[in-house]
Amino acid sequence: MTIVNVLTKGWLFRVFILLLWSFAVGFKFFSLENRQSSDEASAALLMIPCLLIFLTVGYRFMVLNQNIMAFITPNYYLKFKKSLAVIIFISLLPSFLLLPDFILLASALSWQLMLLAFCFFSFSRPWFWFVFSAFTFGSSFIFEGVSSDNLRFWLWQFPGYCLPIFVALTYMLLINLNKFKLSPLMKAKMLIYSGFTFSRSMTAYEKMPEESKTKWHQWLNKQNSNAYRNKLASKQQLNNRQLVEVAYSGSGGSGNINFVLVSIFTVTLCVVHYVFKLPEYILKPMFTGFLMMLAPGFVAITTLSQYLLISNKKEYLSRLRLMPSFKNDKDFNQSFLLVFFSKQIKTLLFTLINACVLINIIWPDKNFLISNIIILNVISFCFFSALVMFAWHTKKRVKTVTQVLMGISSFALYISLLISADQNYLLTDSSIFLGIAAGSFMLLLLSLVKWVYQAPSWQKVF
Amino acid sequence: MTAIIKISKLHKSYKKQQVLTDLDWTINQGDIIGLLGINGAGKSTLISSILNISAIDGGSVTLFGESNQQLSPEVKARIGYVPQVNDEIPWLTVKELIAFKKQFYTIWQDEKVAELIERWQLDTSKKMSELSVGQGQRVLIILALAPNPDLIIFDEPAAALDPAGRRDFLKEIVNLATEENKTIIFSTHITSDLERVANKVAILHRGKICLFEDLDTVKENNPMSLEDTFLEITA
Repeated sequence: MTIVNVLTKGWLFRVFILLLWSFAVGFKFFSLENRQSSDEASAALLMIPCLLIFLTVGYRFMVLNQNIMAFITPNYYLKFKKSLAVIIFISLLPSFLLLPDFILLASALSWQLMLLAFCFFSFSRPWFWFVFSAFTFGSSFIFEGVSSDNLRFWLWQFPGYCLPIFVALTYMLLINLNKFKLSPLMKAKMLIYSGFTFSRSMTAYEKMPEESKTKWHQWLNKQNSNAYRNKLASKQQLNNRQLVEVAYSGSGGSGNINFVLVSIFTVTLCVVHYVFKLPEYILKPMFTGFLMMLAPGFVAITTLSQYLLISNKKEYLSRLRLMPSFKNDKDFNQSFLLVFFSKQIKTLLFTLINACVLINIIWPDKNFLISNIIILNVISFCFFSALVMFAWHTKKRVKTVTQVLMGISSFALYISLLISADQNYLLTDSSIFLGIAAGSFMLLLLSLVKWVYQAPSWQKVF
Repeated sequence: MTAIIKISKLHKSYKKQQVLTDLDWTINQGDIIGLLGINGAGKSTLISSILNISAIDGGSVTLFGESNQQLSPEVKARIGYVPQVNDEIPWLTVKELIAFKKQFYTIWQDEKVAELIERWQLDTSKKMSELSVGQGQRVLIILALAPNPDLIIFDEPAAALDPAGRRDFLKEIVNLATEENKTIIFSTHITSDLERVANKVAILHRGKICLFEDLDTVKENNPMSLEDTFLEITA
């Protein structure tokens, strides 16, 4: 088992990469467009498998790089660096084979090495996301003045001249990779994101000493858990619902502070729009879609965080259901469902209100988006809730599958929003979307029926 | 006696909290040391400082005569370590992980690995993330013993093991020490475990090794049990 094998493990992943490469090859040789355009399109297509490789290998690389045993394993970093160099070479190889024009090849390689640096820094340095976000927004200003003729130069020629810089940067990263150490918090996050030890790493994250977390996380934790702490500390006897609600305390908890933060974001955006008038580009479909995605996205993320929190409170819930205040399993499940759905409905209503306010203020001419947001939020609410309910109910290990399904569905929702925003399309007119909404609703009903008629055994669920 | 580990004036602090202060300690070949200390005394910190897993603030540590800051691959191959927390690659199966580790070492005892896997009834087709804490600990012990190291450091190895596993593990340590003259350090809270296998006891308290003696001497000089002696020192 070589390090290359460890970093690229998974046949599905490898086959998918091969398919994407084949697609790029096919595009180059069978495209009817002129030679230069098809070469550029192939170069652009080759970036997708590259990004996928760097993302997948990046997560795993961080786990391997942070391994405690790395320090006392002979020649660990030497072999590790060599293996990474091999993976980078393999990822770039199709570009060498497919792109005959030197400048185009150099540009493609530059873009791919840029992706590598992007993955590396985004995984190892949390501050990088702020820089990246600023750059993304800033780039819209930069490219505003670029005409379509110049665009070809900036995309497929200029980066080629910068290739030596990116090669040097990659080399520097490679030789210094053992110096990139993550904080325990980042390491736990990395394990969560990689999805390999979902429950264990989340538990590790929850149990991590407060002082080893960042100030921001400490503050957020305190805010999220305070309400539950106060409840437990109060002299008043807690009812069944409140007892279940205690299980929702924790780092990723959907505490009220999350709602406050989102509200602050909405208000800030509205104020900025009133005072400065948001520039034209932000009203373009891509940004509209992106901003609108925040609403169903918030529903999805809140559902996922609730799912993770509860999945890691199995001991608490198992003990809780044995308490005399719960008559039987059904009684316990009833309280559990009441808490879960009250939280879900609160999230749904909150996001809808925020989305309506945003649309009315920033895009008054795009009121059709409100109905689109409503339908997508309802789909998001029904589908994700049903998914989580099924996942809790089954005795099999489905956490990673649930996560992947949630990711794919979120992506599909984003694409639909993008298309609807671009074409001023009313989703309520689409029988497909109404069908999906009805299907999601039916799925939710089905999961509820499953819970009512066949109560899950909390000791065996997870 | 050959000194395997030599620590001099070791300093280590976390933020404002001083964990290890001017710590001097020499460990000779063949020593089987039970490292005792209350929770938070710095046992794991001391071990990770010895192995250069966490950076030290001052002082020096040598392992087999080499500074721990720049250990050669040959010296690294002579060290086995079982950390307290299992952070081994979660997406690999036990079998894959063993194959992965094997590539780094010139000596690898396949028979020993197979014997321990069978004795501890480990399912090698399971992923590391699917193992219980105790099973994960057993895998780490196998990985540490497989390259036949001369120095083995266990950081609370028995904490996650069931009684049968613990007994078996302690038996393994005794075998290693008596038959192969290995140097072993193991941190623990369980004084009865220590009494069964160690020939020396070290107590870490307030950032220093405040007691380091032969276990027999400690027993001879103190009419109290080892546990009482430990409690008296750390009170």
